Amino acid sequence: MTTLEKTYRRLLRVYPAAHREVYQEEMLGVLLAGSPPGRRLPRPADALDLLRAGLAVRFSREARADCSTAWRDAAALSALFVALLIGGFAVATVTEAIADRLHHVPTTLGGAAGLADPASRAVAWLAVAAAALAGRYRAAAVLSGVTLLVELGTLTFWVGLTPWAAMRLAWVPSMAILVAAAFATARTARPARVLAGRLGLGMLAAAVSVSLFAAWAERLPFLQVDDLSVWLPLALFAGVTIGLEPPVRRRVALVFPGMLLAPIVLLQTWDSTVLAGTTTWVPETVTAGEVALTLAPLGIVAVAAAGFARRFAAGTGGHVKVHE
Amino acid sequence: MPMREPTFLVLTALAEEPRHGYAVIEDVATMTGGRVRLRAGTLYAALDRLRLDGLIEVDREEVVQSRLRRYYRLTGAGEQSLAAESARLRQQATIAERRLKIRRAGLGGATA
Repeated sequence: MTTLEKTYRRLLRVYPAAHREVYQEEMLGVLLAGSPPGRRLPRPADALDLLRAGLAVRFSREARADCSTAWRDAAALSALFVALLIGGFAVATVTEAIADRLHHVPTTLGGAAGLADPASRAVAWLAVAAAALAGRYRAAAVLSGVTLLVELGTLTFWVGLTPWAAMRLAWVPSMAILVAAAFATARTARPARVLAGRLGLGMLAAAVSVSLFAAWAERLPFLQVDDLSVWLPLALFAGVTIGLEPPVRRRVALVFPGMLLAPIVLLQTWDSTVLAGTTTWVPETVTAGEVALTLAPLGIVAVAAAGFARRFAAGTGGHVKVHE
Repeated sequence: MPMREPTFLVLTALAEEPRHGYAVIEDVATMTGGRVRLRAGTLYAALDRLRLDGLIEVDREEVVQSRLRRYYRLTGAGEQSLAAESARLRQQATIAERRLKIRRAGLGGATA
């Protein structure tokens, strides 16, 4: 390697690593081709031009990356919180079912079937969370798709037993779609374990662990199942959020409640449309129109989430990803 | 918004055929009679931006004497953008020429 090439390589370090990865060798070729034989140092004008252009790329990219990275990080963490919340609630349901069996409490669905539903849902949601914690967001998005199928499967199963109650659970598959879209959007975000930090990881682990004791806690006079399977995990997520760096924290404070709002809106819509006029009694059967009304929001959420994920992904542009 | 001159010249260089970075520099220098000689930093800032805007794309890559050579070509959007800018410049030039003719005619009348 000549002195000239070494100097050019040093000068090119002013560019961001991602830019160098794509253009450095090509630019070196151009710079060396334009230099007369025997030249040992770059022309001052060339050196200044590289410094100016490199700094311009660096600053413009950092400004752009800071904003989009913070949104991606926030999407990843919010989706992780949702996965842990629903997964934790499913864990609480499993423990409740086990406790009922231990205490010989009569249940709607006895045997393995009564455990299979919450257990499969718990495994699916916690697998999504594990992938997100490891920073494997593409895998988390795929697993969210699998979770959607699991949720639809259990929904189909329960529709046969308690049609009205089961149909009201259509918000859970909607959450799986939202979570999948969030992870698809956040696929280049930093790993959740890095974002949360050691203390945050401890709080996330605690948020799931407390669900294990939800069923037994219910037997205490001052606690309900929801206290340990919903409210305490939410408080711990708030604690994790407070510990985040400010740009991500602000965005999580918007995205996570936004995601939680979706099921509330869905349930309100369902109650005011499908259940309208049937407040005093619940029929044994459901009509095709009611099924359509239940599934319509699910379809709308799916289309909106897919559109958002595609648009956000296209917006990233891959500024220097020439080979894509 | 009018195109910056280096951007216009890079697109013009790529309008005829796909070219690699150094060939673009040479072509621009030839086109402008040596008035504009793009430097590597300026060229690659323009190429990166044009690629991001979808006006150019990578045509192919070659390795020549252990050096990577990437050929860029104009996209459909790039062709449209260059055509629009050419039309704008032509219109401006036509107006300028027409007014210069009027001015010269006026001056000629005054001196006669």
